[in-house]
Amino acid sequence: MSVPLLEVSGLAVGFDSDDGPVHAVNDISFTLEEGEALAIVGESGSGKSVTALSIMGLVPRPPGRIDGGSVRFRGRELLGAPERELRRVRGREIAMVYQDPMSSLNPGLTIGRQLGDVISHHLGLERREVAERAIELLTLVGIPNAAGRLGDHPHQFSGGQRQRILIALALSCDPAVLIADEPTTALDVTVQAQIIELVKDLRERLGMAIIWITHDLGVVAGLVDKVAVMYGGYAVEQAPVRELFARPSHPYTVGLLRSLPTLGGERRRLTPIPGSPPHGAPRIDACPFAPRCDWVIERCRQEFPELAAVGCEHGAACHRRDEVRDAPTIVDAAS
Amino acid sequence: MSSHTLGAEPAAEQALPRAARSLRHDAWRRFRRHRLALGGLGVLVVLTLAVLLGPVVLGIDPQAIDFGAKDEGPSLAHPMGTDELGRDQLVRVLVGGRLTLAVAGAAVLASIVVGVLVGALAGYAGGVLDNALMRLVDVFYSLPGLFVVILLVTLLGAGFVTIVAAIAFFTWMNTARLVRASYLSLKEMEYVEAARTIGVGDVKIAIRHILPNALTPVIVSATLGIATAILIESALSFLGLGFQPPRATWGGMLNESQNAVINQGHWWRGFFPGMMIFVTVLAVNYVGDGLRDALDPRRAER
Amino acid sequence: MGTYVIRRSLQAIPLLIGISIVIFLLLQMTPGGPLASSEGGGGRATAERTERLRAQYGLDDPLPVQYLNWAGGIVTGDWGTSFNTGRPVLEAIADRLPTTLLLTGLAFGVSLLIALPIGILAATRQYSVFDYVSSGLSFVGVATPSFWFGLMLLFLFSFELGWLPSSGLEDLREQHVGLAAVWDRMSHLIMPVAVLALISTAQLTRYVRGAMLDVLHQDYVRTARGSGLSERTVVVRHAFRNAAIPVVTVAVLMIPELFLGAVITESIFAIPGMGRLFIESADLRDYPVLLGILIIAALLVVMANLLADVLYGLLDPRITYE
Repeated sequence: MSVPLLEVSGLAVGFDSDDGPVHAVNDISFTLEEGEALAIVGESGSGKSVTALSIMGLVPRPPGRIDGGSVRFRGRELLGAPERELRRVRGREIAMVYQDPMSSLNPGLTIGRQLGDVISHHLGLERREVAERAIELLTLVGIPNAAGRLGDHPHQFSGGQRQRILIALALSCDPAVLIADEPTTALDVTVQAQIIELVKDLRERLGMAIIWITHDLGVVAGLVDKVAVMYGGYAVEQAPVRELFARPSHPYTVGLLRSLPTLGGERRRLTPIPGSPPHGAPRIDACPFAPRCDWVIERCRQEFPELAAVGCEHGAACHRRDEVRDAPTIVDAAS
Repeated sequence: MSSHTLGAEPAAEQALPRAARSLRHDAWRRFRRHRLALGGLGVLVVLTLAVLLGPVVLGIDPQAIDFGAKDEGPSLAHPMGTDELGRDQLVRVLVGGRLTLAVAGAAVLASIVVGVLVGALAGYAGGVLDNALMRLVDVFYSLPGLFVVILLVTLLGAGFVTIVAAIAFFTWMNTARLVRASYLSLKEMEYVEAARTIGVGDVKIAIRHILPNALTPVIVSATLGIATAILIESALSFLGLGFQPPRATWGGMLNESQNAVINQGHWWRGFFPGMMIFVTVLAVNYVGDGLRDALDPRRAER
Repeated sequence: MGTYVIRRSLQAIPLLIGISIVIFLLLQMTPGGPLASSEGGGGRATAERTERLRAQYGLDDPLPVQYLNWAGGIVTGDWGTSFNTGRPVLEAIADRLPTTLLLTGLAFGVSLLIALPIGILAATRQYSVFDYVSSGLSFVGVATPSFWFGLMLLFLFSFELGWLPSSGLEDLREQHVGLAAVWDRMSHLIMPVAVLALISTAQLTRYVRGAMLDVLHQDYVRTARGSGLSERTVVVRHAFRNAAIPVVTVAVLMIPELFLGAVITESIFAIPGMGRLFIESADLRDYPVLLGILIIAALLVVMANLLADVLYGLLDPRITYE
C-alpha cells in the first residue's frame, strides 16, 4: 500500500497553565489520502483546533508541548522537525484557513501584498506573474473586481469576503492538504452556506485533500468522506460519513446527531447534551464522557474504553459500542 | 414588599458588594505569588523602620561635627563614610530618608485627594462639568512639569508644604482620569440604580457606593506615584532648589556632595544617598508591578 | 488627511491659550507680585527704579490687560525683554535653545538605537536569558535617578579614570582642530547624553518589547507563519510593522520629556542650555524670560502630541479622515 498523504498517530498535546497542565489532545489518529475529505467534529475544548495547529507546527511552545505521537506527511515526520523544513511545508503543501477572518489578516498590509508575499516566497514568480496569480485566486474565491482590490486593506472587506481571502491565501500555492478550522463559525448563516459551497466547488476543481474542523455535525454531511468525532481530547468515534450518520456507535455522536435540527421528518425536541466537557488531566481509568452519558454503566467509570472496530473502517471508543450502533436512530442517512 | 420596610435600607447601604470583597482575597493571594513584589515590600518595610528608628538606635547626632574624622571613606566606624565636617553619613542618610519619605507620602496623598475629587466630579456629574474638567486635565498634562515645579519652589520658597503641593500639582491628573473612568462605568451599575430608587442622595452614592470600587485602579497608580514623587523631590533638591540645609533629603545630600565626588573623588558622599533613592524607587516599582498584576488578572503575564 | 492636520492644529490653539493663562497666573503667585523681592531687577532695586520698571512693564495694569498685552506680544514675535540683561527674551532663548535641542536630539537618537533592537529581540526570544536580562535591566534603569547616575559616571570617568571631561561643551583651555576637535566635542557630550538617555531608553525598551509581544500573539502573525514565510519576514514585515505604530507615537511623546529632563543634565555637567537659563532666571525672578521658556516648552509638548496623532493616523491604514 502506498504511503498515505497525511498520517496522524497517537497525537498528544498539552499546555502549561497557571493552574497546572492542560491536556488539550490526548490521543488521536487518522489518515488522509490524496483528495480525501475528513471532518473533525467536537465541542469547543475537545482539542480539534489544537490538533490542526499541531499538524502545521503552529502550537506556541511554550506554553504548548507535544506530549507524544507522530504526524507524517508523505512519509516525512513533521513533529519535531526543524523550522526550516516545516516552513517548506506550510503554505505550500499543507495550508490552513483560520477561524476568525476578522483577526487573521494583517490589518496593516494590503491583501495584494499579503497574497503576493506568500506566492513569491513559495513559487518564486516574477512580480507581474505574482499579481496575476493573486487576481486569479481572488476571482476563484468569488471576490468581484479582484484586480482593483489588490490595493485594499482587510478592513475594507466584509467578514465573508475576508474568509474568502483567507481561503485564497491558503490555496495560493496549490497545497495538497487544506485544513479549514471552523471557517464558518464567525460568519452568519447565509454566508456560511456560501463558504461551504465555495469549498465544495474548489475541492472538485482542484482536488486537494481537506480537513474540515467544526462543532456542527450538520455541516459535514454533504462535504466530507469521513468523520472523526473528538471529545475531551480523544477521538471517540471515526467512520465514513454515511456510516456515522446511519449507525453512530458512541453516545456522544448520538447526542450530537440528536441536537441537530432536521428539515422535514417528524417534529421532535432538540436535545442538547447536558453537562460540559472535561478539562485538565485525562483520567485514564474511566471514560471521559461517563458523567454526561445516557448509556453509562459501572464499567464506564472503571475502565477506559479504547477505540475499537464496530464496522468496516468504523471505530468507536465505548464499552457498549455494539449496542449503540444497533439502536434505532432518529436521523436518516445524509443525502 | 420587603423593599419598603426599613430593613432593606442597610443592605443597599453596604459599601462593597460581596463580589468585590472576595476579589480582594484573590488579589492578595496573587500578590503573594510575586516574589519580587514581596521582596520589594520587605525592603520598604526595613527601610521605613531603619529611617525611623535607625538614628535613635545608633545614637549618633547627624549634626555632630568631628574634624578629626573628616572626609573618611566607608569604614566600620562610619559605614557610609564622613563628610568635610566629619559628620557620619549613615545617620545623615537615615535622617534624610525621613524627610524624603515624608514628602513623597504627603505628595502622593495630596495628589490622590485632588485627583479623586476632580475625577469623581467629572465622572459622576458628566456633561459640561466633565468636559470642562477634562480640558483642565489636558492643560495640566501639557504644562512642562519640572519647570513649573522649579518655578513654584523658587517663587514660593522651599518649605514642606510648597514642595508637597508643587509635586502634587503635577501628578494628580493620572488619578483623576482613572477615577473618572471608574465613575463613568460604575454609575450605570445596578446597585447604584437600586440605591437611587430607594432615595439615597447623589453625594452619598458617589462617596459610599461608588468610591470604594473606583479606588482600586488608583492603588497601583498611587504606589507608583510614590516613586515619581521621590524622584521629583530628589531632583529638585539636587538642583539646590529643595529643602535648605540643615534640613536634608537624599537629593539634597547628593547636591552637597557634587564637589566632593567630582573633584575630590569622595565617591561615598554621592553613592549612598543616591543608592537609597534607587533602592526605594526600585522596591516601590516592584510592589506596584505586583499590585497591578494582582488586581487585574486579565493582563497578560510579563 | 491635510484637513485632519489643520483641524487638529486648530484644536491645539485653545489648549495653548489655556496653558498660557495658567502659566501667566502661576507667575503672579509670588508674594507681592513681580519685582517684589529685592533680587528682582538683577541688582539693587531702589524704590524709584522699581516704580519705573513697574510702569515700563505695565505691571500696574489689571491682570487681564497684562495677560493680553503679553499674549499679543508672543503671537507677534515680541517676547519682551529680560529684566536681568535687558536683551530681548527671544535672543536670550535663541542663545541657549540649540544646545538643549542638540542634547535632546542625541538622547532621542540613542534611545531609539538601543531600545528598538533590544526590545524586538527580547520579544521574539521571550522567556530566554536575553529577555530576562534585558527586561531586568530596563526595569532597573527606570528606577535610577539620572543625577545619581551622572554623578557616578563623572566620578568614574572624570576623576578616577580621567578619560572624559567633567563639564561644559568644549575644551576652554585650547582650541582643537580636525579630528581632535571632533573628539573634543564628542567627549564632552558622551556622558551628558548617556545620563539624559538613560531613563527614556529603559522606558522605550520596555514599551517596544510589550508592543511586539502583543503583536506577536495576534492571529495574523500566526497566519503569516502558517503560510511558511521566513521568521524574519514574519517578525519584521508583519509583526514589527504593526507594533511600530504605537511605538512611534510613544517615542515622539518622549521628546518633551527629554527636553525637560535636560535641566538636570545641564546642571550636573555645567552645560549652558535652556534648563540652566530657566533656573538662573527663576532665581533672578526674570519673568519675561521665564514666561518665554515656559511657552516654548508648552509649545513643544503640544506639537509633539500633534505629531504623534498625525503619525498614528498616517501609519494605521484603518484610520481614515474626512
